[in-house]
Amino acid sequence: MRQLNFPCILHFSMRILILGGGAVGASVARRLIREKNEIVIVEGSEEQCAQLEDTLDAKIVQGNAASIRTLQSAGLSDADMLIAVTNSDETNLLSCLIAQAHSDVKIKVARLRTHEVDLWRSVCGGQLLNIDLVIHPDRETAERIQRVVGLPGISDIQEFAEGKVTLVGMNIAAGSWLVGKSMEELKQSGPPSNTLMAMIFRGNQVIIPRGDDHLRAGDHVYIVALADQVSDTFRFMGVEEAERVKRVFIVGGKQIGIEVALQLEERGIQVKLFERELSRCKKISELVKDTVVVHADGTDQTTLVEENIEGIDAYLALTGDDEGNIISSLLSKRLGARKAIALVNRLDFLPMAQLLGINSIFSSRLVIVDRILQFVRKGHILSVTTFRQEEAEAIELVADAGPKFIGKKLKDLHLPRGAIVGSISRPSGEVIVPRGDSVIEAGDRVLLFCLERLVPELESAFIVGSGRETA
Amino acid sequence: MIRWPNILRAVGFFILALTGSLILTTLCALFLGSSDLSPLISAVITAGGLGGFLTLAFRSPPREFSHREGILLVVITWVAFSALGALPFYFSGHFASFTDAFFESISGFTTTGATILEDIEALPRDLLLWRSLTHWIGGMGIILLGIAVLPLIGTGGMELYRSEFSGAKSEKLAPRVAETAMALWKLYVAFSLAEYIALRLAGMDTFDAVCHTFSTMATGGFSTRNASIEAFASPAIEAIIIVFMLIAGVSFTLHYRLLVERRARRFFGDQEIQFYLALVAGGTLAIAAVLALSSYEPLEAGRVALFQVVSIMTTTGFSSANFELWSPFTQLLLLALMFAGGCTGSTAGGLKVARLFLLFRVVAREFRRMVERRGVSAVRLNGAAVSENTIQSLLNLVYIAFLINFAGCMALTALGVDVLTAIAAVAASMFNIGPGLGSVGPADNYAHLPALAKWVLSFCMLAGRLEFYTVLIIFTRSFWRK
Repeated sequence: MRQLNFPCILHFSMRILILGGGAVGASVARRLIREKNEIVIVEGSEEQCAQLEDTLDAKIVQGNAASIRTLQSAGLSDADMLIAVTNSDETNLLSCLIAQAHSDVKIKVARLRTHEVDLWRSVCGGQLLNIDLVIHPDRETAERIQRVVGLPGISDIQEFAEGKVTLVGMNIAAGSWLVGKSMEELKQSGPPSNTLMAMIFRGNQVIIPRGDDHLRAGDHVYIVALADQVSDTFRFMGVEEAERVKRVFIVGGKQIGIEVALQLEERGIQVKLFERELSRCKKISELVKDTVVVHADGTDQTTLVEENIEGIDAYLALTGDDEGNIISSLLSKRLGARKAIALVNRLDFLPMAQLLGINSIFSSRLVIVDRILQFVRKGHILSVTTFRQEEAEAIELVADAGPKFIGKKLKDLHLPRGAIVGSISRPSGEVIVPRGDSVIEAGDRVLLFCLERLVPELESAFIVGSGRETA
Repeated sequence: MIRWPNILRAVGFFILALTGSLILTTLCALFLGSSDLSPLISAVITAGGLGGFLTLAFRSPPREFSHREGILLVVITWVAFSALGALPFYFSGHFASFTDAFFESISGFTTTGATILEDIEALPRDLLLWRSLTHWIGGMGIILLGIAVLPLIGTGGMELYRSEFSGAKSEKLAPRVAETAMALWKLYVAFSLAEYIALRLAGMDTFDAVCHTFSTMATGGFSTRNASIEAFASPAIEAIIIVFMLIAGVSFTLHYRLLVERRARRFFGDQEIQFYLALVAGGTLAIAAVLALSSYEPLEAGRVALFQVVSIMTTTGFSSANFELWSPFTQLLLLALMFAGGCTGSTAGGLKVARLFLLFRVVAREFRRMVERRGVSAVRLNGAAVSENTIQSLLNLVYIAFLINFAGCMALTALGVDVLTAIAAVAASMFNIGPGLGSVGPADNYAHLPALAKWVLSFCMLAGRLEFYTVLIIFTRSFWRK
């Protein structure tokens, strides 16, 4: 039973217990606080606790996240949701087990980093331990990375609507024919029928474009296209088609580097993985099959030249050091890598890294936030994807009957500037990228792009009762 | 970097809130049938004008406050409240100078309760009400109220909360600062209502009951009578006030645990509360014994001793007897209790009982270390080990308190005040008690002190209310370094 709470004015949010106040826990907390949830964080280190206390409007409890007493004093019995993101898989699983035995926390989320995550997923769905969401951020990020490895012009590819809709991210190079074109002009140059320019990232700005917005060199754009028209779209945008990828360098033998290596070697790609620590190298070599593990500093110019960096299809900087990743991927471009991909976890670095000309940048931290938001928000939210510094979102949701946007032509809705409907999938299986005269019906799956600050307003426009009633 | 527009806008909002309470007082004055409303109305216009100007002139978007900005916001707000709160007194003409009016006002907001009024009963009732209301506003905390109701303070709130609410380490009641602050204020209001009803039932009239409720719950000490509580000569009223002073001297977080969460064991098992009650009981017994041996009846001795010990220890400063006539030993005992103060997280001042308790334990550990040279032991409070950082900052705080106390005494004696009066006046100001000993005892007042001494004491009151660091830090050079 929820304990009787002192009647407070702000009582319409979820109470969420986050275990682990490291970088991931803090960024999840920050986002969830912004979405008006009550957050309690359990963290072991006293120093880190003091830091969190200063920067977050949350209750911080110092202690071991796998201790029943600590969890109880952190208010386990009142919590609606438990998010276990400590550095230890064991602690995360154990705390979910405690939550299951000692209270009726509605949603349990755990981050796991083990290779055996798929085996664990089957265990975690059972009677003994019922975890609603197991996140393996490294694997999910690795999947996104390997999708774009062979496409130098493309920075990101994501799938929506059960794979029927593709979202393509690309940089507008200085010499591209697209520079200076307005959305209206693009539309007249005969793009594939079902495509839409959804977002433009320019410097620190995010633009949800309208007809009169122009493209500029250095812009990073996202385009919605139906899955079967992706190649046409590439051709239209002047992006070279995917060739057979032969050689890839990965720097950093952390979890994510290994995940990417495993996925790439599955595709028959020749992978060299650089790791500086010998013991780590040995461990990696036991895990991978065809990948060559090199005990060397993969950010060192001499080493890279020796290992024939010239002409490699992609250079993936996946160490834990954001600055190092940015610098070394720039270096690789100069040494002749066709594509440079950097892992950058600090969100405030992202706009700058984009300006420097790194082909694509990934952050595994956002993946966790995205997965969790799907549970925190009310209504039939199918997925949430956050872009760059959490300024813009793609939300996939099922439209309810009733709300004010349903059954009207899109052009009559007067969507706020900063929001756009990317695709509509009908229950019949038909998928369209909508135009001004398209109509959203109840039951449609809608892919919506919008600035983060517009989220509450838009959710309520599509979903009945998204008014965050008490959970 | 300090973003002044950000701070000044927030100060503006606080001043508008103060204007609101001034308007409320003015309305009550109408109801009380006061003859002259002009002091209050002038104050409303001045404060409203200043608050309105600040909020309109600095239209910066609401942002989080950095550490330094938070400290500045707190200090500026407190000074502004004291200065603007002094206006009704100043305009009324009952106070000789602005210094006197400011002293009375800051003494109110910091819940000190030291007065410069020779004849309290000569003051119009609307000003007496305002005097008590300043206590009540300052008791639970100006900033805390701001955090609870003003939406302009977001994440930076915790910093502010800590600067004003004693016992920074006391746990939050709710994950969000705003909710915690709201819960504390609600408890405060609930207790105040309870006390008001009790005092009315005991035969006090509405006006006196309201004023004394404000003074008691804030552990302030302003009364509407020259003779303080002694004037009512009612054991029932004394008993009620003793109970509510004791309540106000206990951590409101623990009140919440007991009354809202119904966890009695958390409340009565708390070592700070046990130590607090033990000190009250010990002090009462000692003083009662001494009094009984001299001129008092035993029962009467117990009654006045209990009232005075609770009043001094919770830093309220009411009096039910003139303790200046008691033996020097009892007076020194009361002076010692001034330093102890109430519990952390209460509205009381002083060093706080938990700190005293920890201090004893730290000293005990030092002795143990001298004997068992290789022994390692933790200092515990309520079963949990207290970190060395906390102990360090505790020792620093005590050191700073004594340093200020000493410096204040030096300043006062340099201005020609006698030693006993100086020591007691500084302690009574710093720990927000009110009446001291010597020529500032319960039957006297602070009017005769030199003007400069009044400013020194005003500074001590604010420094003590904000637990020293917040005020002193802005006088360091590193605070202003970019």
